[in-house]
Amino acid sequence: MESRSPSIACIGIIGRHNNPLHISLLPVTGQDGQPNQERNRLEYTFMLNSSLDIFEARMPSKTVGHDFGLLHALDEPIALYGWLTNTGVKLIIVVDMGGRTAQTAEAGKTAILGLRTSDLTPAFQALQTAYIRLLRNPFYVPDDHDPRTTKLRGSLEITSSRFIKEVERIGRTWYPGITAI
Amino acid sequence: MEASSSSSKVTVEYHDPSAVFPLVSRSIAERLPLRNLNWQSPSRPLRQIRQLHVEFVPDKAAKTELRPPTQRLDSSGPTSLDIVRGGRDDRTVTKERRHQIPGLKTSPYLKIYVLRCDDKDKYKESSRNAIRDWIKENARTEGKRGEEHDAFEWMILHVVIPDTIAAGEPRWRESAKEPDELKERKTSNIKIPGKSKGTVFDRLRADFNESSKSGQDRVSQIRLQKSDVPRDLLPTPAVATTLEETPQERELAWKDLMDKFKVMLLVPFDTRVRKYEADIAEQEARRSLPGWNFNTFFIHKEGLAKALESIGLVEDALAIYDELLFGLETAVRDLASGQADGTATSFAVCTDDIEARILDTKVEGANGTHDDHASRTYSRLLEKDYRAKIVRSDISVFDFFSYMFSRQQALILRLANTHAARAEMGASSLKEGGEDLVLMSEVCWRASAFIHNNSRTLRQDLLARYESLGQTIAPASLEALVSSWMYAVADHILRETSGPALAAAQLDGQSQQANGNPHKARRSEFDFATGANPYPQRHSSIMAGKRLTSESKRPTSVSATLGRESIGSPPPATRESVDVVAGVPGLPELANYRGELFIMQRRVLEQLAEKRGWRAGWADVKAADAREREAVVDIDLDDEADSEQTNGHVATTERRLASGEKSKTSSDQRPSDAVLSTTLTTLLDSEDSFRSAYERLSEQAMRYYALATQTKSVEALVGDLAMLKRQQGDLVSAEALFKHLCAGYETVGEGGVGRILSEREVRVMAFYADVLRKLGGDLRLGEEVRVLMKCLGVVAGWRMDRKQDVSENFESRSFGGFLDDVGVLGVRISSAAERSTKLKDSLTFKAGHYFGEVALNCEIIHPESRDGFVLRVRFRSVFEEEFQLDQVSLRLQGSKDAKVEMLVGNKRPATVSPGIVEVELESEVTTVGPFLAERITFHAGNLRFIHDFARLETSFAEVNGDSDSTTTRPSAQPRSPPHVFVFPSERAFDCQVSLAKEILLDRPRHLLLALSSGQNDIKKMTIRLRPTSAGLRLHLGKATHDGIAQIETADQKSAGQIQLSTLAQDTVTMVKIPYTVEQATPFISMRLDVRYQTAQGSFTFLDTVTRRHELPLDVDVRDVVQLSTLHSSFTLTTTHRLPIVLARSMLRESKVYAVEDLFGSEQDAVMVHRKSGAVLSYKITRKEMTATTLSRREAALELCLSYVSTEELLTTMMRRGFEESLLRSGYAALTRVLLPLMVDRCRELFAGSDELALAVLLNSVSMPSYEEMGWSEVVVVLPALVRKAVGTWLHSWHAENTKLPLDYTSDVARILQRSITLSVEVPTIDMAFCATMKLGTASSRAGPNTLILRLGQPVTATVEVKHTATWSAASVLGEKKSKAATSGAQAFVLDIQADAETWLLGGPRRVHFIPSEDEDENKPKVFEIVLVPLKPGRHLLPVVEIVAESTGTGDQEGGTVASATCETFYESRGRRVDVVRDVRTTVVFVPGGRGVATEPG
Repeated sequence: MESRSPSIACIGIIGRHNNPLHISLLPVTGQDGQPNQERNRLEYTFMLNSSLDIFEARMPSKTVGHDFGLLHALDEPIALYGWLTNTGVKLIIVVDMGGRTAQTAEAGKTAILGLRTSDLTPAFQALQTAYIRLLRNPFYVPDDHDPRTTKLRGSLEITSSRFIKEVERIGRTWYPGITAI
Repeated sequence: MEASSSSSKVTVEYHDPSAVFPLVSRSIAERLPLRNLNWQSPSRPLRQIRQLHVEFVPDKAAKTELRPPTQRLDSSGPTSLDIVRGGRDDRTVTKERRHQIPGLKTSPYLKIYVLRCDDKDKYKESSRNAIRDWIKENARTEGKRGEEHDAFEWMILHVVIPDTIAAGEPRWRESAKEPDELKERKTSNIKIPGKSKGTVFDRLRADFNESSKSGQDRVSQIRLQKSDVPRDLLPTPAVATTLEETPQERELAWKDLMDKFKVMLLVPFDTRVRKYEADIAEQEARRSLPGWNFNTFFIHKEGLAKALESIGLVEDALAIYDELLFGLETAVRDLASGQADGTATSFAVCTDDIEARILDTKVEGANGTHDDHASRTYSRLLEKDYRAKIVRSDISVFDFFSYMFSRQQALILRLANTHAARAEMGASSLKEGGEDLVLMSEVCWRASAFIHNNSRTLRQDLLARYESLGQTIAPASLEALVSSWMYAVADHILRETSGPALAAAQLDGQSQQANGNPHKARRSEFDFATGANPYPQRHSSIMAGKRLTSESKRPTSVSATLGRESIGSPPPATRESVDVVAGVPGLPELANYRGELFIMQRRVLEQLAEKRGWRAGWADVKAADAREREAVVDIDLDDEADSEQTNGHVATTERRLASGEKSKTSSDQRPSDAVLSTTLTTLLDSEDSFRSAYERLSEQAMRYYALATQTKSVEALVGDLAMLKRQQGDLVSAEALFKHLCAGYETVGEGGVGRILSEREVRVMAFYADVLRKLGGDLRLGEEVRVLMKCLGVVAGWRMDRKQDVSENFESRSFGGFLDDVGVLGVRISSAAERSTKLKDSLTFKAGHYFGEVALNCEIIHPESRDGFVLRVRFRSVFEEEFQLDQVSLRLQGSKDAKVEMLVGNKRPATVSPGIVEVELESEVTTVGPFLAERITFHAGNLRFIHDFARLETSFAEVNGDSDSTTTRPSAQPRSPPHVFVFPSERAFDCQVSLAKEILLDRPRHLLLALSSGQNDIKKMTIRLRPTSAGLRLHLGKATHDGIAQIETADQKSAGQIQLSTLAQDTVTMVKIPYTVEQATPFISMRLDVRYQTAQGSFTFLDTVTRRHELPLDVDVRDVVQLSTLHSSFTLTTTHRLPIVLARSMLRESKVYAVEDLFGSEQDAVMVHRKSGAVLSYKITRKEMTATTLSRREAALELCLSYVSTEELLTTMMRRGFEESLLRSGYAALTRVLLPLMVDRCRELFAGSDELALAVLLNSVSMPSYEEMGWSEVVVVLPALVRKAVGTWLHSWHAENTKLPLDYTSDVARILQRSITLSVEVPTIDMAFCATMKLGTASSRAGPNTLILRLGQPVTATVEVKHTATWSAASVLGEKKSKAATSGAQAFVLDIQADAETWLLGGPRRVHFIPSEDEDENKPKVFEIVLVPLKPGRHLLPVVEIVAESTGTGDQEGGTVASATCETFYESRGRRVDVVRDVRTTVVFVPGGRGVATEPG
């Protein structure tokens, strides 16, 4: 039996008004790093949506722009971690504790122990950096992605392919114990 | 829990040789636990121990004593003592094992010698020595061990039995000064004669208290009351009289004892803590050294934790456990990552008995009831003798974590003061107050994290176990075991944390619902629903919007509706109930985490069920999705199975789902039930039982989430339940649930301005629509269509956005499958339209939500050989199927006159296929001018889609009222609606309106309508004119027309319109319509609407006409009346800046008057300016009288003026020149747009320019330039094809034509000549006088016209007055004479007005006279006067004025009487005389002379 190690299953960027800005799903990968199991988008949308409640519940006690840590351990392999930027954008990372094949036996063993909160900090920081970079893009109009101000009627999701690629890269790159992405 | 209960109390050992302790034990127990102890250690801040539970244990010696029967008697309730005595002591003995590592044994902190000494003699005899021995023994023990781990204190408790001598000894004395204050009797200075000094108590104190000042008082005394003591213990008869203690004294004695307990307990405790800390520090220091063992370290540190715990500092203990947990994680991590070289830490590979433990858990509580027994069976899951294993360093990691968790959980629960923990502490629940829900929620929170992490450890553990046994475990069995464990732990925690407060909160919610309408009571407080939040509200600008969207807009009562719908489930807690319990801190958290645990259980259940192929809720939809997708992609299943084998087991949810499903489908091999715990086995007995368990767990979780105001989670769960009901075929319940869910989406309002529905929500709605359709019925139809349309709107929105800016690749990846699924459920626009046809009323939607890029091509196209125009509307259909739009219509509104509206629509239904669609909209209207496209309406079935151009861009920020919230606003200015410039083709019908050239001022003026049929063969025509300027009246009934027949209709409706019959192609006809205005207005305007019918259909010509109504001329008349003639002079000025040219003028004579042009009538054209007018003079004489009477009008003269307006001339010349060039240029098709525009523009330009007036004067007018004409604006609206060329051509035209020659004699000018006929009334005067003043002889004539008068010389003058009645109305019109005239005595007053300084007047100044009837001109009336000139110089003669005398002021009833009119022509007016001194007499003054010599002249 191969040992598995944690990987990011899903990254959700949720806007200030709880509108999804971007949801990246990262597949379960096998031995060779090739995806062998897609994730169900709907299921993860439910997950992210429910986790917003926890953000809301913890909001007053947290100073803005903080790591919310473990939001919700859904079941054995799936756990959600949250981060709030000071503009009210929520970053949510869903970790699948057995999302990928452990590269080393040690990695497989440590994986069993779960994650430390600090494990995800680099990922959140990288996401925030990516988001800031997106905001600096003059063609990205934040108001168009805000249900209060937008004139678009469809999805308000971020469409910058660079940002999306960056998010996916972060999702793929992260592993427990990484120091910087 | 055994471990925790023994360590959460302090042990006190008592030595009770005389078995009196039971007598006081009850009183002691009443005063326990000890409260408010303050402990300070150098390394820590001051701690207050609020409660200290004390356990009294007899020492070995005491235990061997016979147990007094009173023990049972005096302990009726569960006291600490009872517990100690009852059950525990045996076990503590067996547990008592010596270890090298301290901290395991709960050695006593305090040892008490319970002394019964009835008198001093006995004390002396035996007691003292016994105590001494006891102390010695203890002191020896202390000395021998030399360890501070077991540090303790000792004390003596003297129990005084009543009726003994000791009882008679006083302890207290009264203070002299303060009677209330009790003081202990001093030992030294009391002497009682006949007795040895002191009491037993005094003796004790003297003997055993250390003498130094700092020494502890180790002696305490308790006096028993008679009632407390069994008879057999009392000495019979009473030895001494008992000194009765007052209650106050008794209390003080007890307080003294308790205080001593406190002090005595804290001292050894402090010693012990220091020792432990030292140990830990030592261990820490060794951490990096080889041979360090975490287990050893753990035992040391846990010793401290236990010490802290036992003394009641549970928080501190918990902190130590947290540190330990972290340490454990680190150790395990180090071990796992291979960095633990050199440490002696070792863990067992696996847990031997775990499988048995898991499977052993029996729960008889599937229905939610719970009792102590159940919780105890659960606790066995976590309970084990871990510490021995730790000490042996062979505990498994899983067990270690389990132990840590169970310890922490126990500690927190103790802190939280839960019911269970209290029961263990032996305290009554009534006394202790409520539970701390915050801490309970902490337990739940930790539990979910624990389950999450440790389940993996368990999995590993199990694998290792089987490996070590040399067996393999089937993945399914493994999963089953892990799942069972997870479920069981979650269940356990849920039981532990279900407190009365929570139950009360839930009950509250339910009872409120039972009351009926919960909304009524608490509606106003809905906004406070967030009050469940225990923290104060933050007011941050950033977060300001949060509440608004998420809280207030949400359905306020999640389950209020559900409850009433009665879906066969207990109604979940409502928002209102949250209000009720909002004040309880921690409740939302607790509810939330409990909800999470329920969800975790549900997931466990779901995962197990999936292996059996059972699904519920959304998971089923998910699976359906997966099936469908697989079917679509057509994956070879075998292939995948192979790859799965090579990949090995994938421990993710999905993988397991997939594999589970496959194993089921392929071999139908059920995972053996043996590996499941019994609980789960029953739950998963059948699909139905699974579903009911699922429903129960979902409802529980939902209820808790609702209590925690976790609306989103509640929503998700409601969705799950709805799906479950749908799967179960309970459509009615499903409908109710879905309806409730969708209501949340609805609250935002139509159009989705505030909120954009997510994919998830669309799916919910799609299912809702599906359920509605299945249920059927008229009522549901409307809802169904609405829901369908909302879904479609969202789907369309996504597609539109995607198409705009993202590559196909992205689209297919994110939404592809999902949108198809929605389609499967019948969410199609064609089906929505088809369903809507059955609706009674049409539903209106915003077109922008369904059709992308709705755009109007503003260029009009003229169809071949017919009037009207065609506009094209383009839009993008994002729907995948074709559907039909029954009608597309566009409303145009005149941009100048908003009341002009046109409706442009398509003739036949348009088929919409995916992609860009273009629909041609046809109009039969012929008109010129800019129009604003106002709205496009699409009709499909009973659905209406409206696209508003104008109102589309109201800022959203304004709508929401928070304009500050936006950071950037790139497109803030509202987009103006598209302009459509409509103009007719060259050969279209035309109607030109002009004012008639001839104006008769006293008659109604006329409008001329030139109707030209153009290419149309008109069969019938209706002209409608509506005045739009105030006071304008069009007399359509009196219209005249030539060459065309009018259809007379008596129809009332046809009033205000003219109906004309056929008009052949290319013919022009004129219609002349008289009009009047009620007030002088410079302009008149009207709306023209001509409907005409040809073989091709009926068409409309629309125009708004504004024409200048004001006359270009002002005429001023001055009349001078003489006896026989009347001189009239007319002054003409223009009312306009530009001059007019007066071509001809003529005063036409009437029957009464003859006219003689003084200057000659047919003169050359005269230019009339505004400031310098032309003057026309005529002499009017009376004609011979005819007998008949005439009206005034007939008598009046007519002034005919023919003129050419320069403005008109200029405009027309420009127009002609332009038109000619245009027709030559090849842009003839644009004539009908360019010409009217040019004319309009010219009018504007020429109207107000003074420069132009000057230029006209100089006869050189320069043409307005291209820019001045504003062509650039015009060119833009032209068809793109010719736009540029026309622009160039216009430029060149302007370049060629810079000067405009003004020729007033040209043909053009002649055509433009207009004429005005004014009727000029000659004034009628009753009497005309002609007065002459003639000077008499005294004057000498110096010249022909000059008279010379001498100063001071009187001159006689005669005033001759002639008169005539020729100009009187009677004479002219043959009317009856006026009243004054008929009376025959109309008197006139002749008034001579002379300047008093110049003339001295002799004779009458005023003369009344009556002119004779038949007076002859030759015989004038003569009045004589004398004039004396008083000043030399030139003077005018006095003026003679004749006025009619007003007859009788009072005798007529009318009061004032119109006196006769009269005019005086004073011939001598202006006649001058020279007044000179009479130089014939000279007065000479000689200076120095005697007198004045006078010489006669």
